[in-house]
Amino acid sequence: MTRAAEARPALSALPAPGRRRTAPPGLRLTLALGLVLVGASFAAAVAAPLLAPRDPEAADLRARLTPPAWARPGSPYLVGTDAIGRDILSRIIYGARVSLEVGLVSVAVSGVSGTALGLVAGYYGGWWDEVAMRLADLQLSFPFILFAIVVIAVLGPGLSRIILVLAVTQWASYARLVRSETLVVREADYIQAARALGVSDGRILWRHVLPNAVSAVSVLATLSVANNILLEAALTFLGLGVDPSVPSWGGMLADSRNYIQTAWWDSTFPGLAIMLTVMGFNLVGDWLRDRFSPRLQG
Amino acid sequence: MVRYIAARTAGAAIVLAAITLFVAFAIRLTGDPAVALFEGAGAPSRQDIERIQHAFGTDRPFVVQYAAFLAHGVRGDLGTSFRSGQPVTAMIADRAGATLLLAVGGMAVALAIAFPLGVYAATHRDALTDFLIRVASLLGLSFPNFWLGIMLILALAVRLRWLPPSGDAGPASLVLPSTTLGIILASTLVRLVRATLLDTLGQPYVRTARAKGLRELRVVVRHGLRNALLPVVTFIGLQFGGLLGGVVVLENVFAWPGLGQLALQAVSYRDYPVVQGVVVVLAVGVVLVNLLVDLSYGLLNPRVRVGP
Repeated sequence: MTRAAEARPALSALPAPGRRRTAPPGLRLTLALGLVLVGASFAAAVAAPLLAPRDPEAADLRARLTPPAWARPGSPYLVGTDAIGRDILSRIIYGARVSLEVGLVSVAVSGVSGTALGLVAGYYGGWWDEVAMRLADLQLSFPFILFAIVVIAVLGPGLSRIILVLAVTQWASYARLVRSETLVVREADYIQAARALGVSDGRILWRHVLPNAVSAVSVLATLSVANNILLEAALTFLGLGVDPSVPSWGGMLADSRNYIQTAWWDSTFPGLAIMLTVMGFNLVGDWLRDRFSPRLQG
Repeated sequence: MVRYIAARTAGAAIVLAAITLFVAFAIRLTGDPAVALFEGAGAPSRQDIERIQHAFGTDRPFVVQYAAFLAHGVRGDLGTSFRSGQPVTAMIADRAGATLLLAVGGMAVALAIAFPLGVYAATHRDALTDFLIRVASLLGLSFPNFWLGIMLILALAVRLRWLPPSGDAGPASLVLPSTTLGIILASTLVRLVRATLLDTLGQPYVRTARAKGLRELRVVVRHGLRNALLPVVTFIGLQFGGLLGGVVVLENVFAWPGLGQLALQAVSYRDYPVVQGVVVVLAVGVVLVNLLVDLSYGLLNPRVRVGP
């Protein structure tokens, strides 16, 4: 089926041409909230040394498992300390670095490589297209968690391995998406015209084909950042992820489990940080989807 | 239809071949198991290594090893654990029940949440319900599943002492893990139930049913829900791979003695035959479920058979 046929019902739902589509107020509010949350996590990651009240590594065994300041007035630790007396707030602020690094780098790597493959596969077709799409099918039918377990078992845990696992498992989504967008415009008049003028294939792909795919890719990429932050936290929590000595939200939650009976704050706040950051990216991604490509659902 | 079944089955076979090949190859990259056996026990002699390599069969070419792995695997022999010396198949059989129970329990909770809410949302289309559904599914998508598990332990096991926090001690132990899994799954399922039901309720035959004067409940259940079920069931079947991810993580949170725990322990002990066995068994399960969903979908809906 061609994309034009798929798109028809969605088009008829849009307002008449000429009238600019304005987002309902609720949507703009959620976008604002999303941007605030994403902005806060970026600020924490970039300015961690300025924002963190203490050294995230400094342990003080006399202050171990101190409750948050409001639960014990006079306590200098705003959201309490962990089992070896490190300041939880400072560790959360520094932990934003790991989450954002994994989320952004993995999406950049898989997004760029998947987009390039999809462009070439869709534009040239032929055996290359066939091979790339069958590989994508294979990749997508390998359950993520199993792939991650095998790769980490072989290579050992670590930040770079997590990014590798995420990038390798996700290029296929971008390749498929970009390929389908490319197929739509491949035979369009303006592409034919460019070809007739002798424009090189590389330039046609870059200037005339790629811009058509950018909005769909940006939606997928934003939602993937959210998802990858969750996956990194889960893998680190399982001991398959980031080195335990680096402050990370998943690692903090893993450490907190032995103290769940006595120190609720230790397992509450790092999770809250993950949730708010992920929610921020999800809100922005949802807004982009509603704005640019309503066809991309869930 | 025969062609459709043949094509799908061949596709699944290729996927399984590729996955097993990848897993077997990757596990061989981890180094020589004969050397690993001596780790921390002094330097072994060359003869010792060769003897053990011969016993493990790791002195043969990779292709031969892979063929032997497949041939044994098909007969239910996945090798023996480096650590415990037990057959991997027996260790997996021991744990598979717990994993299956958690998966089914989580799915049951998800259905029990998603269907009533989805139907309600589709039949009461107003700003408030739509808003609440959006917020709930956004929360579900943003919640780390393991953190939801920890928070439920904190509230229901530590504070209120209603349920055991972890382990496998009778049916009460299943409540927290399957609820956690179910809530996460339900957050996407609600949206799907709502969307598909809205779609079917807009069909002409539903208008006809209403025009006949049938009661609204009957229209929604018999004409709407029944036809909305197919895409929802398909979705559930295809979510199996993702469900597995949740199961592995939550087994860890709740110390639930399933296959995920077995695999994670094997990773930390570098017990590669066990890692390989569990991954292959779970991958086979996921691919088979997906194949069954594809086939039953083709059976129920002739239109998909012409697709690629």
